[in-house]
Amino acid sequence: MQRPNWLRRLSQLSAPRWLRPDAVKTLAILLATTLSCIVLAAVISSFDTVCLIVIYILAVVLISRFTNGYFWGIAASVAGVVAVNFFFTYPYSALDFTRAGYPFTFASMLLVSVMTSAMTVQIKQQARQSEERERHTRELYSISSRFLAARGGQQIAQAALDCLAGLSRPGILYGGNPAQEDCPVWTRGASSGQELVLRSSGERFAAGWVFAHGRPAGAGTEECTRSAVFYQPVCAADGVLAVIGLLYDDGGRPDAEQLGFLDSLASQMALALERQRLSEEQNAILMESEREKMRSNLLRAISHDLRTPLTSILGASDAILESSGQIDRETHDKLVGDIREDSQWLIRMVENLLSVTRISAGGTATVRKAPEAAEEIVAEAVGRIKVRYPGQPLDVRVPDEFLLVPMDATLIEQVLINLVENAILHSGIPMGAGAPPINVHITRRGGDALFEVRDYGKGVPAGMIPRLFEGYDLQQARSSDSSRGMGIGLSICSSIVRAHGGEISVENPPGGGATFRFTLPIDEVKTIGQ
Amino acid sequence: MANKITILIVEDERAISHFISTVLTSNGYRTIQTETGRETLSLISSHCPDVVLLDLGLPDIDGLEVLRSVRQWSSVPIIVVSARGYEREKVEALDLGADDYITKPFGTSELLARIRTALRHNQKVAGSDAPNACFTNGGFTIDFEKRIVTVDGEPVHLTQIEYKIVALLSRHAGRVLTYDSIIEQIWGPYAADDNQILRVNMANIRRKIEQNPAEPRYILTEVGVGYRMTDQ
Repeated sequence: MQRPNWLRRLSQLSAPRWLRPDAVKTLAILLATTLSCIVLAAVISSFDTVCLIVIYILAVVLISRFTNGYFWGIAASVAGVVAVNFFFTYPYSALDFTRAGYPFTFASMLLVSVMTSAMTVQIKQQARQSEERERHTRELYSISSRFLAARGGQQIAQAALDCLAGLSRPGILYGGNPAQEDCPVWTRGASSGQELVLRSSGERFAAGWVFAHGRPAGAGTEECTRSAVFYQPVCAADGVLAVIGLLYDDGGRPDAEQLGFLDSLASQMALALERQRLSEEQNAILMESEREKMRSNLLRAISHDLRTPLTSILGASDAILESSGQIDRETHDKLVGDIREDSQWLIRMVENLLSVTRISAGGTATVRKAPEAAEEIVAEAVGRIKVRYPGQPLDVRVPDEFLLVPMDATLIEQVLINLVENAILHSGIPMGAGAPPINVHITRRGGDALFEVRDYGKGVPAGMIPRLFEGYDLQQARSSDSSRGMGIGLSICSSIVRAHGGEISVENPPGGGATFRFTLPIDEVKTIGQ
Repeated sequence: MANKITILIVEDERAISHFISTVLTSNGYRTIQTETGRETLSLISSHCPDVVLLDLGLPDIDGLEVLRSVRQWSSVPIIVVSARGYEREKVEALDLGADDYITKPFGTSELLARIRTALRHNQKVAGSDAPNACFTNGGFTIDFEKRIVTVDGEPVHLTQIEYKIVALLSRHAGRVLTYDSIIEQIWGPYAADDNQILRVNMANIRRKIEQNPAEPRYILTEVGVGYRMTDQ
């Protein structure tokens, strides 16, 4: 049974790596079994062939358990049969399968050994498979949990790259169609040389092919064979969303495990992107309904606000027409004065509403900007205010530097007029020559033009500040006629400034009063110093 | 009666037309009213009004069309009436030869001032070829012969280009000059189509002649349209 030394050496030399420990194990177990059987047979007189066979079968089971594949188990079965025949049956130390009954016994032993060995191996394989499945599930779970935490396309891309890093190869991710110039690209774990390869036009073409055809290509596949990168498309129901690439610049090919990993990564990423798109759509619907709500609120508030001055105009004009000559000069003038005042208010209101349509006409709250000189806009706004409120002192300052700010001039003028008017009407200071002036100051702060309107009145009640620019809820509009239109005016200011990419805020500065300030981003290139 | 100044009001809104007419009549002008562009043309040729107030939104012909055809044979001063926010329309009207514009809604004093300015310009053109040697507006004075600008008695040093701009606006005091027309007259017809250089020059001029550039007294900006030298 013992193999000659030269054979073992040969097997060590020629056999693949995995064979060597298995051969040693098999030989060791068989040797131990044979020796223990010889000892047992010598010590115990009643020790018979049946016991021997059972012990050998045990050996076969052990061998099957501790070696890989069917080969060693079956080999041990045959070796066991031969060993039993050789050592323990008559004639001893010789092979003889011809004695009556023996062939049957040996055949049974062989069959049982082989079957046991086969079953053991099978169980082992199943265990390994389930282990593999479990690992795969764990992997999937870790991928999907990363994607679950990701919000927005950028984070999803980052999560995918993080997962790719687990394969310890440089990876690339196209967040769209690689054939397009503006397609976002991320790489991970690549040296500068590898970066060049990943971002080369040839690789980009291969990635584009994958995007267009929706199936893997590149290194190790039948398509785009000159590529050093394996590309996996990220497919959703309605087409390819992204392309994942893994660099094999060392001439390697993706193995089954990596392919499986990339496949599950791609499907999880597709799910995440799909989820993202759905939530974006939902947000858009939500925003649309919010806007709709805002619009109807606005309409309601306006209808209410319009009715008051219109009623007063109608009443006053009726009074004048119907009592011709009856009313004295002073009353007549008073009534006409009211009509005039209410009409002016209506005109301002309509101008504000026009501003709103100017913003929403674009659909997405954007404005048409053109570079305008800040001082010219301020000058015109101040000019209009002076016509309306001749007695109101104003302190207007612009920087020495000539500020060219991209804006829709009509809208920003409207903002300034609304803010100054708001200060005049709601600061609680009676208008007049002795009153403290309202400051309108323009300065430059970093890359922004900063517009400040400050009054020295009673300030804004602290409780109102957070909701001041949110607008006209109906309650506020209804609460008092003295503040009619104010909410609308400020919320329009806020929408205009935000549509310009600026910010609006209010605070009660030390020294009293209220400061409204808003910023507009300056286009650096177009700014010309003096 | 015959020597009263006649003003043609082209306006399709009867209420507005009526109120303008009332204001003008009580200020000593004679008014003619019409609602259509077609009638406008025949009324101008038959009545020879001294000033035309033209609303651009007419029911039959586009107001700009009316303006264009009138300008082919008449130099009668035309003041265009337009709404706020339609800056492009105003610029177009001015470039087509309108003398001035007034933005709805407007007050009576503004309307009367515009009409006076238009009449004065017309008389100046008709009266003498030689332009005034001097223009004075409050504390601002420009001497065209000596090319000297003074503000409150103090001489102001302007660059060549700045002086040209100020002189141009002073010659047309009270009227709006569009960006394009200023650029064409200062830099020539082949100047760049960009009005940035004009704005920078204006900013410099403001800092030299105005006390507070944010509250100009002499040269006003008509945002989106052009500049106007005030006229008193």
